[in-house]
Amino acid sequence: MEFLGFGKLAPGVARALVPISLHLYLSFFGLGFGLEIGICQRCLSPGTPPLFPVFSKRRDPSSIFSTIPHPKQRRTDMSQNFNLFTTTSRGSGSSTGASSFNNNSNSFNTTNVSNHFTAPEDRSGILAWRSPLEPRVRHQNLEAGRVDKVGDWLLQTQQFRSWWDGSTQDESPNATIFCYGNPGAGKTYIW
Amino acid sequence: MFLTSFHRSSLVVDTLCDRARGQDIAVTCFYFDFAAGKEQTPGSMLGALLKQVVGGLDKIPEEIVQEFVEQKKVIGGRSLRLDQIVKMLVAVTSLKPTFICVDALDECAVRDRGKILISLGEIIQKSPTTRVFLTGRPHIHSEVETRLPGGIATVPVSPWKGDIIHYIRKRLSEDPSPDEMDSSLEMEIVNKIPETVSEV
Repeated sequence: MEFLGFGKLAPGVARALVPISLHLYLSFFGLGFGLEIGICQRCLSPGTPPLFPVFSKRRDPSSIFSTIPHPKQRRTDMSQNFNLFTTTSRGSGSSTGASSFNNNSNSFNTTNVSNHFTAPEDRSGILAWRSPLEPRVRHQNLEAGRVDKVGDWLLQTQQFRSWWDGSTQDESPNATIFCYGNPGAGKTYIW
Repeated sequence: MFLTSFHRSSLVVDTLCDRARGQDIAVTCFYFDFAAGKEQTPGSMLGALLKQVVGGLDKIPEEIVQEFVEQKKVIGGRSLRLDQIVKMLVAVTSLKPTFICVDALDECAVRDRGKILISLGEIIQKSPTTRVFLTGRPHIHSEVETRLPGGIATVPVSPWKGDIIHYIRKRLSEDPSPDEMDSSLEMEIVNKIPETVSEV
């Protein structure tokens, strides 16, 4: 009998392993869920140093080119990517942002937004209300991550540099950059 | 597996995050997926962006808190309308330069895509320091160009031989059975695989 890829086992041994493996799976799932909540809460807290330990989990593929999943297989709810908040103390860019904000007559209640804040304990409930999309367990594969320097050509293009440089100025040639290509061209990896 | 979301996985988002470090810049992202079409509505997509921008602020703006309190009184907690979300996004993206990165826009339902592009267009127009990075298949090119104001740069993406070779070498260096590899086999792999990669 084939048992979870461990080769042929006697039927009696396999039957004995089933409850053990089920127990281990449930234990890991419970621990992992708790960890995920903890990580998300930590990331949501302002001023918390980033918690992105290098998590190197070696797989033992039968071949180094055996399975290269598409990045979509690592579906991760965008709300999980809280490392992208890049929250910082007020820096050089704040004056630009503030002035454009104040000049925006269509914004709601433009004068008071930055003056009225809420307590940190209310944050999680309010943030969850913003969008029903919440972090969840997905099929992911660490080994399928992007290889450093692959796709760097994009960063060197005039279009990208101009788009990035313009972000610090009110008037930029292009507010949007659109990278297009057929399926499998690598769009998601450069994204 | 729960830490994977922090693994380096996409070039531009990672680059923007690296460059934004130490600056008062917000980077947000979202990707579309055919399989998640029903839950990836314009409201939930833009709400997820709003959540990311607001999550990066020191405190949640009072207007959002007020709206939350008001909506909670109705039918046990009503979600916001799309125009309310856009209005809030305009406000918070005006506080600091903001990057919005959206992957696979072509995988968004056609009807929703129009609403999302119009909403992004409104944000770009009213919040001049907002920058949008989009990826998608070529057939949505004209739609993106029509809907979004503020100028659009386009970059075609196709497999680049140098990238493929770099990737192969990286994978070879991680070969769990290095004893089975020799220089001639390695050379053969490096030479043949890029040649057999078809045009996509």
